[in-house]
Amino acid sequence: MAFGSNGAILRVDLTRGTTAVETFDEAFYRRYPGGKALAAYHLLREMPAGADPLGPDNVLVLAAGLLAGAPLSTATRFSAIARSPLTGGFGESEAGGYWGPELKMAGFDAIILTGRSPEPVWLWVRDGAAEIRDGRALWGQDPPTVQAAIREETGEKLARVLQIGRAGENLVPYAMIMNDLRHYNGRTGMGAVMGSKNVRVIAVKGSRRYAELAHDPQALAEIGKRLSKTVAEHPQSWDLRTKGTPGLTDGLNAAGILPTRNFRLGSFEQVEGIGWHAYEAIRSGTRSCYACAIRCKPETAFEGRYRVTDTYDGPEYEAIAGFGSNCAIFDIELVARANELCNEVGLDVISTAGTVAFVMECVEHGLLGPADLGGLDLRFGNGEALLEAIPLIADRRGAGELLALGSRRIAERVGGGSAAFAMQVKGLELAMHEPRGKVGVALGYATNEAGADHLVAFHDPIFVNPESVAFKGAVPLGITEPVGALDLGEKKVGIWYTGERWNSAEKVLGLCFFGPAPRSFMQVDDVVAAVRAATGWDVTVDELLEIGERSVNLARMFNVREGFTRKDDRLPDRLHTALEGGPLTGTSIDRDAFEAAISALYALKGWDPATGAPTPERLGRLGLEWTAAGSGKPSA
Amino acid sequence: MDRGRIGQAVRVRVHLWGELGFYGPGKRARFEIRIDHEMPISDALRLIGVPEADVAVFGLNGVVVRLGDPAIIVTDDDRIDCFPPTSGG
Repeated sequence: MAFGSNGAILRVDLTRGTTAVETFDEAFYRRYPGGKALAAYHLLREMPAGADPLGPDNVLVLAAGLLAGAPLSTATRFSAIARSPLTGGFGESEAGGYWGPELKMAGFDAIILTGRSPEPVWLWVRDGAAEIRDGRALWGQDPPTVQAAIREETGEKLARVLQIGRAGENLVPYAMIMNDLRHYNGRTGMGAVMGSKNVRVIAVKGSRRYAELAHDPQALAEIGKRLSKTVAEHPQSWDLRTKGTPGLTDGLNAAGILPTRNFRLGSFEQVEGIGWHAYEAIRSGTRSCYACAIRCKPETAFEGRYRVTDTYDGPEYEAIAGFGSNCAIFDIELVARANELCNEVGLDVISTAGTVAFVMECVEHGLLGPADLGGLDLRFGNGEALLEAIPLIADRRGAGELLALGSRRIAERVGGGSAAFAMQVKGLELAMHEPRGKVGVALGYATNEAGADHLVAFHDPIFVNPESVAFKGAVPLGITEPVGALDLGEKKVGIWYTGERWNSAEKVLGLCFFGPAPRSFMQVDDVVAAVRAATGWDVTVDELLEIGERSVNLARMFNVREGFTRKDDRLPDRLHTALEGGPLTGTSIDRDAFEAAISALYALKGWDPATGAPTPERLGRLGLEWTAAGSGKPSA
Repeated sequence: MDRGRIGQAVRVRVHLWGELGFYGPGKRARFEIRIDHEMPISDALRLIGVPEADVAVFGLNGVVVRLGDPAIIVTDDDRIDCFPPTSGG
């Protein structure tokens, strides 16, 4: 019976050099359909508590979303999940592109990597079979060379190549994983975990079609066809198609929520230097992920003071704000080169930029100087020093030895009160969204198990006006009353709770944040219809929300087991102080109101108010009683 | 705020940022319009055809203003910027 999945997972024991296929039944998949849920299930079940994130006991799971590979715009994503070397907690990062869909076409829903290979290897997965191959010649090579070598060796021009870069090889705790050079599992250091296992590449090629996996392929195809026509007819997807994320910069600056000078200011006086018009001048085109009609992926190429090619993606908004306004650099060409350098070496742009901005502020306060940084004059606005720093981080040389630690560990080493302006949560640097202007984002930063991620739930401005297109898209989720962007009351907490479950469901289904409402064009009913067509299950919105909630609770239980408590759900002190510059000058997040909001959120989530741990009742409701007993196979 | 007289024909430069460009003439984000006379900014927005509910930030000549403020009048050669409630990236 087809239910949108292969029902098969590839298991790779790198210590022994063996592979095996494990199958699961449909009842199991209805609870853990794919992506975040499927990966978190295996991580929690198989990784021994307290495992060294960079040791052989860590478990790296790459799991395609349930709908990844369906003929549906934005159904492309897969999750990379392991214990994070950056945070010590639940590590998670999603990426789009073609790799996730290709994995499904190759006959697997997920790959579980355990142990550690004694020598560098790469993994070749093709049509239900897998082979561990010698990767010594690939180690140390740049990503395009590696991708070309894999395609030549396999004779498959369209093999989808997932790989790490130098940063992953050198175990930088915020190293990323890339696929097809253009799509990135950026956050929480999953590239370092892959590097610690001595795996440079996982290449996949399959000849199945999603139609073979779907319960009603014709209905699914019709939904996909209808939706692809609406992409250009909906303002939000039209905008993403027209400009991609670089179109966000000016609006956020105007609203006073463009992170600037390490989140000290909310507005950047020289925004034109990195804004849309500057970006347009270096844009060379746009690209797509698998079967996606939006085509939002920006591409830049130019030759001026720097030479940037279109080999990699971006810069996306996160890199523009991260290396631009947040480092006080108002030069889009330099920002594009910094972005390209991160991609060349395999570093997460958000954590790289956040760490550099933090060090720039340490320099400003006299806590660090060129003598501590191998001669590097890493002050705000010094773009050339930034460009110099990135390869050093990847190689952990000179200043890179310190910078590779990430902002939390640097603050611990430097002291002098610097922890107050280390803009991180649980060790993960904040994404480029200023939460003092949209406080629900602060709830996400603080409580997310993986740290300060911006895709945890909805962003507040969507819910200010009930007549807006975005708000109307949220009504089927039960959100009916507007609430202000700075409101931290129970109404906001309720919306946030719905948003987290919905966004987590997207991560399970393999849908991009830019697909479903309220952020974009795919209405809630469309998502439900697509899941029904793919699986044959009579799912409802409530069941999808529960699937999302289950995946959140799996992540939370992982963190509980690793010693995380409510005290870890906290913001950097700076966010409780007044924002400077721009229309929101003076705005801060009140500590008491924020703590009250967290308590209210815990109550909705069924989590203990003192510890932040899920209560047995909530675990029981979600079928997760087994997680409280440590590892062990649960019933489906 | 004294910004001119009601009753005079005016030319206004408009920039619809982000998804609001969807509502521009021919989906153009930047354009000029001529309106019969100076008017409060919310009325000008209605004439442009942008749904007020989808505008999060409104700028007049580079300064953020409140849309509902009747004292703010659009006059000749003004620049209007409309920003949507931008979300994640």
